[in-house]
Amino acid sequence: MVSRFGELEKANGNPFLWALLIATAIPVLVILAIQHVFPSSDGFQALFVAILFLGSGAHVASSSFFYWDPDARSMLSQSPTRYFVAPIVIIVTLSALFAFGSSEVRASLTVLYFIWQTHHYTRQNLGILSFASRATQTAPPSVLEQSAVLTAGVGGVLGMITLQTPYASTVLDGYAWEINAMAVLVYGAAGVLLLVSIPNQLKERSIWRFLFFVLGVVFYLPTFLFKDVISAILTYAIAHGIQYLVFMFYVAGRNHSTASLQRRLVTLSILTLGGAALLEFMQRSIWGSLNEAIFGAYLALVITHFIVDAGVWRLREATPRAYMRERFRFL
Amino acid sequence: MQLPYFLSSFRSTTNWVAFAVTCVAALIVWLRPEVVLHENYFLSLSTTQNSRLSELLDPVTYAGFSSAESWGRWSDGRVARILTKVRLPVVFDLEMTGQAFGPNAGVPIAVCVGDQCHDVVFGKAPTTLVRRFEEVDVREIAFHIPHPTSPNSLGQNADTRLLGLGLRGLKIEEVP
Repeated sequence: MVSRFGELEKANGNPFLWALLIATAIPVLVILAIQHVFPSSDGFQALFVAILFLGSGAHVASSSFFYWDPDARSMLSQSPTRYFVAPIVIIVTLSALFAFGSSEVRASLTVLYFIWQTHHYTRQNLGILSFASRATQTAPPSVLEQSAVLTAGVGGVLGMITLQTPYASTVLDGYAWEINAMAVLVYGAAGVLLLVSIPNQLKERSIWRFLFFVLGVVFYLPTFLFKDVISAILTYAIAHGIQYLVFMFYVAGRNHSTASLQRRLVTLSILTLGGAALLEFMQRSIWGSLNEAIFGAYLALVITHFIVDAGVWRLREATPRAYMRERFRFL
Repeated sequence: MQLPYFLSSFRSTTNWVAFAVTCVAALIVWLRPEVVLHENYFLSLSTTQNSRLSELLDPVTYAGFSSAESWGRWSDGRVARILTKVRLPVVFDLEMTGQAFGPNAGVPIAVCVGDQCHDVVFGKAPTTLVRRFEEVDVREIAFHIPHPTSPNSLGQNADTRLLGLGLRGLKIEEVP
């Protein structure tokens, strides 16, 4: 079959890109189906709980695999301040600020946390675009393409603030209209950048590349379509998490003997499920007077995930590139 | 020279493009509220919030009001609230245009912003009334309806909404 993009390229059969596509589509479709089509379906509810678990705490916990894997650990050891000292400092600091700070301080920190979290999703979208371009042996994403994805991410961050965060308890109180209007303008600008990028996409003649580029921009579209937080935010948040698990499956599962492979996948599963359970308990109000401090530590652990991710997937740097090349053969 | 990762972001053209777009959006938004604030802040209550986009761009959200009609909105229930998404001026005149329904006509309706309340009396025909509020630190305007009544209970039609105040327009004018 020949499309406008030319021959469907070799990567069309690439299970990695298919897995990413499915990982993106399933959470979005399931969540929207539950919210708007089958709200009382037990089957969908069970599926929802499962993907919620995997896409939230589990994916965060899975990044602890980098601390277990000897190869990754040696990579992390090259930047001890970033990967070992900073997380401890952040855990201690946030725990203390949540334990002893005023409600306004806690609310402000929570808003900043959600902003960082949403930006973290955008960084992954840029990474996916980069992986897709390498998998399809096309040119790296252009500045214009990356700008479209990043600008969409800024729109997503702005649109998320008044929906999900306790902004009303911070200095942002009273600026909801301004924030929302900026969100619409910035996201609209991302749409314009997407349209301007299309000639370049057609030139590359890769439907996969085009697909993941568009996906990177429309990723935050639910924020501008739906009023409920689950449809507007959780759709893409969980999609991000499931995508991440696909990445981690490759990180743990490639280029090893069968025995080693089994051990690595079992370890990844234990770290993922055990860590997810820990993170789940940390969010609950079962710690008495330590509730706030534990919640601060929980946020700090997720922030550690952001910090680790921003480094280990950085393909423009030699060490992460070498590590990932062993696991993703198309890189 | 190898920059720390959070500083290397400043070398990225992509980041600068997104930053510039955000700045332009901020500038547009910063200029616009000044215009609407001083002219006619809430021109009409007939804007529908039936989509997320329209809700995002509406400067207010409603609670205790029925859905938008071509002329405005009916209150539905004992308390109808308007939550503004922008900061209210320190001193402002609240100009309300509307009409009362059934037994609410000719009786005081309390309009409150924070702990400051004023009575307003609307008739069955549209009227415009102005009340001044000072030093209020909340963004909620509440209308307390004395006799929420459905047209159905008066034998007028099948409408079972508990109507009280039909708000056609709301205007906030800053007092220098």
